[in-house]
Amino acid sequence: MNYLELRSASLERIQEVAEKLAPQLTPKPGVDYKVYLSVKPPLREGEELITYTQSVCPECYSLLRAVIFKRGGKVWIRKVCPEHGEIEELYFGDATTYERYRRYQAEGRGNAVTHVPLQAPCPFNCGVCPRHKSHAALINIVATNRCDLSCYYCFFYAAKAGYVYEPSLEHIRYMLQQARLTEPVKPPALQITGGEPTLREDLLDIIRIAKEEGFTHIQLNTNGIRLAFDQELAVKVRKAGVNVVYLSFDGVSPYTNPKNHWEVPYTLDNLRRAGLGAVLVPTVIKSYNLSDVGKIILFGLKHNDIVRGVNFQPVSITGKMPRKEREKERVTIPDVIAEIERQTGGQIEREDWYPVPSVAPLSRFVEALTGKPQLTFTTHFACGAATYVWQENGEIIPITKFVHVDELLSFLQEKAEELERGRNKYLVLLEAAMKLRKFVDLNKAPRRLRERGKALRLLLDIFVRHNYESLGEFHYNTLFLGMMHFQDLYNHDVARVSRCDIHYIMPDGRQVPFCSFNVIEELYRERAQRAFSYTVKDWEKLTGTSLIAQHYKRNIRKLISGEPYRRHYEGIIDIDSVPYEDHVLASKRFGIPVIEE
Amino acid sequence: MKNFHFTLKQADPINNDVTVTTVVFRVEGANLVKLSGSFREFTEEDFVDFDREIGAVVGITVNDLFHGASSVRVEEIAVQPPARLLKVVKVEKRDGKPFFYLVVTEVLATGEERVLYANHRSLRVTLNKAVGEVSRILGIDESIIWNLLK
Repeated sequence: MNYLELRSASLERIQEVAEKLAPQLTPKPGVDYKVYLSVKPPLREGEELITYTQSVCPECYSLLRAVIFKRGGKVWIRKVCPEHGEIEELYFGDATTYERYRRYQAEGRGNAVTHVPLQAPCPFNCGVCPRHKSHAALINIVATNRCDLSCYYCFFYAAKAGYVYEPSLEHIRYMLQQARLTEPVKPPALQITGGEPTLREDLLDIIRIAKEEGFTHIQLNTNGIRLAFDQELAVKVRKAGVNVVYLSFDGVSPYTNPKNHWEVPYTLDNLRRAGLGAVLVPTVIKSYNLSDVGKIILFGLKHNDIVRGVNFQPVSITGKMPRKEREKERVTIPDVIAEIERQTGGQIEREDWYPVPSVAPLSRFVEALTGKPQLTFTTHFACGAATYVWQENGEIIPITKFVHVDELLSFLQEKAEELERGRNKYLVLLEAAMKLRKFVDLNKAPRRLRERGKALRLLLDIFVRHNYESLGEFHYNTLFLGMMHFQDLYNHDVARVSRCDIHYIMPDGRQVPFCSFNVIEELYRERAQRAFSYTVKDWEKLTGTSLIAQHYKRNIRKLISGEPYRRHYEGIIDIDSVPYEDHVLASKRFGIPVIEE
Repeated sequence: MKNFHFTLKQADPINNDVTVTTVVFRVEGANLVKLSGSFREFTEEDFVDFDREIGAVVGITVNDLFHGASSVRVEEIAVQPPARLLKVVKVEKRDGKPFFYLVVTEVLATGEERVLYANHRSLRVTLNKAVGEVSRILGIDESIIWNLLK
């Protein structure tokens, strides 16, 4: 449809149009995909079966049977499309870690109220459908597909896509209401993303609407360029209700982070002034920036006053790519973790990381205590991992060095089961208060948590007193390290999609798991956004601006001569060893023009 | 109408060792009449229905069947519309007590089936409460429903 007709429409009209279009936009069997589940992929000599699952063909999206197996200490996935042949891909870089993580898998209990009827096989029924196993923890909303950068690999931004997707404020309200439709657990967190969301002049209104619609934690996903040059913007978005900025940050040097290496110091300073924390988000590619993962953590620790975490994202390969090319890029969670261990000299070991669903016993315990359904992280164990670290006297201290995580989780699981069987909750709380100390070794804790037994007090506050403000205190001067491996068409696994808890809300009101929205993007993201978009010509006429004119041009000489640049990178890289010409080349190769004053 | 009976044993990505059976009752006045049908093999044509009947309520989906060793039988039941039905889904885990899901549906004259109530797995509903709710919706004495769960 022509979005000009909907841009000033009422909520009711938007809902009417969305409900009419959603069934038309839904993937159609035989047209958008075929089903070839009877073809069993072979296992070969030297390969050990782990399990069978379902996946899609990277060429035609057909639903296929896939086998997950061990070979050479790694985990692989193989599928055979009758039309496009056999596809094999690395699934998880270390079989031992795979088996360790699997022990923590917890099954979600789905949603009693969902968005779309169940009419097609997973993943062609996303919306959310009644068979989905997890409830959403985080909703993503694309505020615009406009971007001020023009990265060479990106096909998503408006100028390349050939249309402008930018839902009106009323449309955004409709989408957010849809996202809060699920029962019994409504998603508490929202990420405003793009394109580049700070390009929207009405960003503060979007944040306000998100608060009004019940989101209690709001993240702003940005390249940080506007935040670097507009001192007031960080203050405004914090005051409007943003809790944290998700800041793209692929490495510490111009070579590994040509997207925003030069601007990040200025962005962080502005966030500092505003008191708004940042999470650094590196996309990790083997041949490109895997060598930087340790330094990225050191950078985060150096600026731990404002950097709250680093969320590594092993590459999700977009588009179609030959196997040899994929092998140069492919990296998985255990590979990144192993590199972090190596690059930090063993200070952060692979055993310090836990898969996302490992924290499910915490939710189960609170749920059993309160009788109220709780947000529970029940993603597939291969989707993500995390840990917490502190730095003291130059030494990195992971949480596992002073909290006996496995024992604590087992204890909470056991107590949750007792509560579910009807044991008196006050007796359980008393027991928890008495026993929690045995899970913490205060002598090995960072000084700040050691003083007056603070670490123990925090645990008591959280588990016994249910005072979650303590979590804020826990996070202060703590660096969260996360790992989230979004899928692609090559390693796609329906078992992971059906457990996804990071969803996108689409303009037609459907709520789609991240890895359907972005992996089968032709049938979800692209189709839905294009349907609710302006032509570039219409948008330019409407706003009196040109898309291309908004593209950022970088003044490297000015940026590297500023004090913030040196202060932020000093001790992390040898600043003076990079010739100016190399800076310029790195930026230009990436697709971002450079200007001289 | 399709009714699924199955066993499943899987270890990836989650451990499952269950037997699931479903019995369908038609509401006739203040009574429930058990419906039976003919059994046949489970085929690819049944996958979406399996997810709708079992996946949406119990949480076990066709993808889980792919992951593990399973045996599924399909019971085809003829239901004359309009009708109100109670489906009793019994889930027996090898290491635990059986659990019952109660699903009340309405089959319209058009043949379309609508769910009126389910003690969905995401809701913290005790079986007592679920039986009370089903009794209220169908106008059936609670004792009749409890008898079905023995």
